Amino acid sequence: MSAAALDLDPLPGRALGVFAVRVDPGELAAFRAAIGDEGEGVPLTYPMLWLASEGVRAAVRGALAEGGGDGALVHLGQGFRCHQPLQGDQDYALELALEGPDARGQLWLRGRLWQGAGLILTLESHLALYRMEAAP
Amino acid sequence: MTAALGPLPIGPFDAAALRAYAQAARDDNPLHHDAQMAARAGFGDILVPGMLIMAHIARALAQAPGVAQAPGVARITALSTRFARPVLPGQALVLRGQRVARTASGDSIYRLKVTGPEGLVIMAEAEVTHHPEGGTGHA
Repeated sequence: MSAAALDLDPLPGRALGVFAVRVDPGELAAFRAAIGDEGEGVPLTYPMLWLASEGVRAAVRGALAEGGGDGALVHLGQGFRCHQPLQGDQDYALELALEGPDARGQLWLRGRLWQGAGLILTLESHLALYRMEAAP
Repeated sequence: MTAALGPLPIGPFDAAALRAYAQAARDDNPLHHDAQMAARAGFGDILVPGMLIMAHIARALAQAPGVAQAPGVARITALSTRFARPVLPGQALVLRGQRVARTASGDSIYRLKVTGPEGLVIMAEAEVTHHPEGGTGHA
């Protein structure tokens, strides 16, 4: 990974780390089936599976806890930009940073997916923290 | 330069579809499967994951007449969405849009809207590249 070499700014917010991820053929087949995709490639939304990994979740939870955030996360928006096609049965490195929550409880999880020095994909999740009412 | 797209059906999604997606995407957000938790967050029912709808938007766009039939293989290289309103299980959605621009490199830019029974639920913008041969991504 080489953000500096590509003259890229650091991702805004708190760096969550770099996570080793993989397009596992079995998980890819299950994901395709669940979204009704009969195509050949890797769906553009497939990286969501990585954001749900335990390592990423723990990092997000930790960052939220440090910031005093608590509640259910609701998706307000999502973006992907693919710079090079994602390939099945390949390993990647996912760099993530979390910005927020702001005064409205909104936060942004941004990521860059790398393979070696090559930037493969960028993503941004726009989220909101919903405070939970007390259980009856 | 506009080319209309749709109407194309999206969903409806039932509880089984939500379970299948949750398992495949490791999405265990309780708002998508626990009605009590959804109620505690102020929703009337469990919510269809926005990312499940987004995946169907990408698939529908890649297969849409005028996109899939253009020369080469359509590959969505960028897709962004804004989720305007929660979608509940059983709600039928409709995708409509138009091509609003073509980039210097020949990519097409689409603006898309998904509506449900109560109006707009998702706004989206997509960039589609046509490759002369096969590729990956949402082709």
